[in-house]
Order: sequence, then C-alpha cells, then structure tokens
Amino acid sequence: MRYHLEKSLQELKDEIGRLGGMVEESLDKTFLALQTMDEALARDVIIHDDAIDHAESNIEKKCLSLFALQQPLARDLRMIGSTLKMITDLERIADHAADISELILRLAPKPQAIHPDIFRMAEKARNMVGRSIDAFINQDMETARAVCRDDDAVDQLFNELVMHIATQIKSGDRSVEQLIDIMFIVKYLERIGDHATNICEWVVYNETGMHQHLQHPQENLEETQQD
Amino acid sequence: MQKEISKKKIVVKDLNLFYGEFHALKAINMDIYEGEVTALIGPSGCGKSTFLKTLNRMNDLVEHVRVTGSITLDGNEILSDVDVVALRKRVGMVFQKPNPFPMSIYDNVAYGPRIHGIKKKSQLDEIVEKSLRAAALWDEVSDRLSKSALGISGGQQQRLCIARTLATEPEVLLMDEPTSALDPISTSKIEELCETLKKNYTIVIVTHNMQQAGRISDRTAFFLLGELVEYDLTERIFHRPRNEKTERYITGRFG
Ligand SMILES: Nc1ncnc2c1ncn2[C@@H]1O[C@H](COP(=O)(O)OP(=O)(O)OP(=O)(O)O)[C@@H](O)[C@H]1O
Ligand SMILES: [Mg+2]
Repeated sequence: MRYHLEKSLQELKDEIGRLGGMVEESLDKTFLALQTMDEALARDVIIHDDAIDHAESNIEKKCLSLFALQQPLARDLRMIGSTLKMITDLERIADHAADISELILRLAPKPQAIHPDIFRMAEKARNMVGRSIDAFINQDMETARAVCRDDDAVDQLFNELVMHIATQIKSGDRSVEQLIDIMFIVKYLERIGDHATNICEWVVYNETGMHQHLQHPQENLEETQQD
Repeated sequence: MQKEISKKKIVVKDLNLFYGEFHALKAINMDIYEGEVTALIGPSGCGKSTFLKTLNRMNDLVEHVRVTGSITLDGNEILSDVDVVALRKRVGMVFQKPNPFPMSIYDNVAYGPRIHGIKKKSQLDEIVEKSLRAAALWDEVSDRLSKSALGISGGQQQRLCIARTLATEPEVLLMDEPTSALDPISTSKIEELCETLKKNYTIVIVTHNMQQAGRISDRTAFFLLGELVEYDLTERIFHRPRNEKTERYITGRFG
C-alpha cells in the first residue's frame, strides 16, 4: 500500500544523503584551504556552491510535489515537512563554507598565523554537521540530542575567540582588516554549528511531532512562554 | 482557545451494539462537543455508520439489534424510553446517496415541518427559504421551487437533503459520507456548509476522505473493528497520532 509514496520517501532520503555529502565535501575543502591557504581549493568551493543550491532546489520541488500529489499525513507529513526545512539548513551550511572560502581568498596573499582554536572549532562544527545528517537519515534521536549538546562547546570556543580577536585588535599588532576577516570566519563556524543543531531539532520533531529549540536553554524558555 | 469552553452535546458511555450475535460496537466512550464538527474515520465495516445511527436511534429499524450502555443528549438518556420521532427531529441525518423525495423542491423541504404540524403557507415559505439558504442552495433553485427535486444535479440534491433536514431545526446533524458521490465543486460547497452550519449545530460526519476530515473537522475519531481506537483533535490525529494503528491507517499502510 502507498507503494509510490514509500518509494518516493526512500528516494528523498537518498537525495538528502547526496546533498549532505556535497555539503560535507565543501566543508572539508574549506577547512583544508584554511589550513594551507590554498586559493585554488577555496575557489573550487565557491564554484561548487551552485551545484549544492541546485540539489537543494530539486529536493524542495520533490517535497512540494509529494504534498500536492500524495497528500501525506502523520509520519509522512512530518518527514516531508522536516525535509523541506532541513535542506535549507544544509544549503546555508554550504553558503557559509563558500563565505569562509571567500575570506580565505582575501587572507591568502598575506598569510598570517590562525589561532589553533579556530581549527578546533571547525573540526567540531564539521563533526556536528556529519552527525546531524546521519541522524536525520537514520532518524536517530540519541545522536540528534548529542549533537545539540555539542553545540555548547562550539559556542564556548566562539566566545573565547571573539574575546581573543578583540584583544588583538586593541593591541594593534596585526592588520585590523585581517582580524575582522578572521572574526567573520569564526562567526560562520558558529552559525554552521547552529544549522547542524537545527537539523537535529527536525529529527526530534519527526519522532515527537513537536519542534523545540534544543540549543540554548534561555531561548527554549521564551519559546514556551510564547505558546 | 475556544475548545476549552465547548459544551458536551452528546456523551456516549460504554456503548455496545450487537447485530444478533455480531458485536458491532465495542465499549465506545466518546464525548461529542457542541458547535464542532466531529469526523468518524476507519476502514469499511468498522462500525462508523452503525455508531452514527445509534445517535438518533435509526438502528431501531433493524431487526435483532441489541444496544447496551448509555448515550445522553444534553444530559438526557436517549437509549431508554424516549419519543424517537422527537429525537430524530433534534438529531437529523443526511445519507451517503442524495435521497430526495419524488416531489417538488419546495415540498421536499416543507415535508418535515408539515409532519410536525405547520400548515400556514407563509410560515412554510419562510422555512423553505431559510433552509435552502442555510444549505447554500437558494440562489440555484429559487426560480424553480415547484419543479421536481429529481431534476437537479447530484450535488444540488445532496444540499437539498441537507436543507430538508435543517427545515425541522435539528440541533445535531449526522452525515454519512455526504460527499462520496459528488464532484469536487459540490464537495467543497458541502464542506463550506459544514463550516458555516457548525456555529448553530453540532455535526458528526462519516468520511473516507482523510483530506476532507482534515479540512472540516475539529475532532476525529478512528474506529477499527467496532472499537474506538483513538479520538482527539483532528490536528493532533493527522499530525502525530498517539496510536500506531491510527498512524498506519491514515498513512495508508494498513493491511
Ligand atoms: N443490519 C445489519 N445486520 C447485521 N450486520 C450488520 C448490519 N449492518 C451492519 N452490519 C455489520 O456491522 C459492521 C459495521 O457496519 P457499518 O455499516 O457500521 O460499517 P461502516 O464503518 O459504516 O462501513 P462503510 O465504511 O463500508 O460504510 C459490519 O461488519 C457490517 O457487516
Ligand atoms: Mg458506513
């Protein structure tokens, strides 16, 4: 029964897996380019972003046509609805990889030491993204919740790095322009962690039917008060 | 939310129904709220029509039926000795197939009021117009009230049957798959009608169309093999039902 919908949902998952793979590849290339100040690699990420946008919009079209033609309910409704939401997060993550790559192109001509915590932060964010995609495809609540917890470590590194960069700017030892560029990289990394968290929130929604913010406890409180 | 203040119009307690040996309804407990549309869904033969018919004692017409438990309407028991004709005036019914009487449109609608003793032409005129307007049919038939009801379209016939039911001023409207034989336009007219009518009536509707239940009902009851498996706000049922059987049924993964 509902053979067609069943089949379409499987295809949808496969496509999310493919899109996820492309996004992960962009991140890997970006972070490698950041380490080696490899301009060719950074350019490659920027060019490749179109393909990711294209894959995202294909999935979006599939979801919308499933709504129109299959009129999904309950579990199917939640799955297709959350797919529609999570692919936006995936696409945003890829955008941030491209954003960082743009900054690498600006930094590369006059390479300067990058704080090792930035690489730690990148590593953590990259790991969150990979696990959030797996959690979504396998509908794995435990991993989803764990990823959300990991976001605290990324946020912590973000705060520390911002302080550190602010001190550097004040000290006047390095080019302010470069420090601002690095500050942006740190901000994008923090956003990537947030998007991975969003994806995990949709995993939880798929199971419970409730969309809750799982990252910052304060925000969570406000949300419930509004309801 | 308005839901909180809704009044229980019908309260069903531990209702069992047997067709001879066959146990068709099993220990049903259900509150039906005033001013709401309640949808009954479930696979063929699960007891939806049977349940609907107990609400105005239409099952009395079937031989070898035995009913136990309690159903109250505004707090008064309807399963014990009641004036069944008076009950059916308060709890009207619309069937799956439009069944206009072979008489004029006007006489169809005036039929009930005449039975209940209304003779005056001006009064009947008023009831006929009011009922046809309420059933969103007036504009389409006002110029041919004396024509045969059999000469109008299926969708119009179904709305005529609704008008005929409304003419006796019921409080509860029972509808058994009222749109299953209708095209999308007539269907949406009847659905819109439910939306407007529920302000003044309590509506219970059987439908096999999940999207229809989603569009028009406030609450949905899922029946399976004579049991009420799950009953909740429609939004809840179609978004995240609690019961696995409900989930499988509404996502079409049954059997
Ligand atoms: N008059 C009757 N005598 C004996 N059994 C009956 C009678 N009417 C219905 N039944 C049985 O009771 C069960 C419930 O029937 P009912 O008509 O209420 O189902 P339903 O849910 O309305 O199905 P459908 O969706 O096909 O209209 C079925 O198994 C049916 O065969
Ligand atoms: Mg039936």
